[in-house]
Amino acid sequence: MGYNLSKLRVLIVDDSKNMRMLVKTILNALGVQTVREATDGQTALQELRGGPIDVVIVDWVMEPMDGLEFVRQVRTAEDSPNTFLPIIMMTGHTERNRIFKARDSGVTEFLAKPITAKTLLLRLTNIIENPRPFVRAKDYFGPDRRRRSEDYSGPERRGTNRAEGAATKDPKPVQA
Amino acid sequence: MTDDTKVQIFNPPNRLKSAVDDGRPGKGIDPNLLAKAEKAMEDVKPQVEAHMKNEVAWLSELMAKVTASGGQDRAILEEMYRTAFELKGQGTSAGYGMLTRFGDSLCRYIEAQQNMGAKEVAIVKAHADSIAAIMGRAIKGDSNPIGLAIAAELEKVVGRPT
Repeated sequence: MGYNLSKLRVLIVDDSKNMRMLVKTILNALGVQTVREATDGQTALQELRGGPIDVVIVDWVMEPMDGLEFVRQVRTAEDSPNTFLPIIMMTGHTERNRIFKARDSGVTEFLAKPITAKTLLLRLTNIIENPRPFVRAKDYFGPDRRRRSEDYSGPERRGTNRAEGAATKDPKPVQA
Repeated sequence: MTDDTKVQIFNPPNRLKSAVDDGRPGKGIDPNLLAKAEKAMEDVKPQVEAHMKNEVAWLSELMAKVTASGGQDRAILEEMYRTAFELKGQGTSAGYGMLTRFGDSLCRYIEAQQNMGAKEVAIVKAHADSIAAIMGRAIKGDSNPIGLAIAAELEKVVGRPT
């Protein structure tokens, strides 16, 4: 199928005005018409409560609330507007340990700076075409941290309940 | 007693896919839009470059303070890290790929230093001077031979990116 991104509603969260301008420029050229902006995690949460957003593109280092805390709040806060919201973390921190840390906070995709139109489009396309299941474990709630290519056909290795088509803020999983 | 090994998996419906489906038989977005986005990035390069110039000037001011304090003022070093991180993240978008490389190297070096002495300050200064020269001489791209040679020497000290 072909895509028309004009109906996509995107929130850019970055303390750098210049970076927000760059991302907005790319999104507008790709056809996205609704682009909202916030300068840190706290104002981003307020923006999310102000109206529906389909995708968030968030920087890591910001004050007073950084990108990691923002992701945790979206995923786990009682009053989160959408715990399943796709979140792209846009960061210059590309070291493995930092990527694991961000992944464990519930980030959906990474976008390494410096960004290009192509890399941003690839991340958006991946979110649209290959949405990951969400996982709730003892100390984690967020997108499945395993890549989909890990097809496994052997016996079940751990206790798992599945919930298909869950749509509400806190859907109840189907008991196995 | 709860079972801590239990994992629940949810498959939220893919609303995005239906929201962006334009009914065309092709796959993905119109390729002309990607070309349009790349052109739009080119068009805003002067704005990004102006911002980079300000950041480079600020880095030089910070360097003078680092030298004056002998590298002992952690707050100044943290501000220098932030500035170098900005150069790393946006240098290439402004057309200055070498700013991204030197900015990355400077960030990693500052982060790795617990204490700074004269030798460490000299290495920080070598980064700051190189960055100032790249912008001052408008050395665009990421393949200037002198820039590459200096970057390679500095990265021997700092270590390769992981």
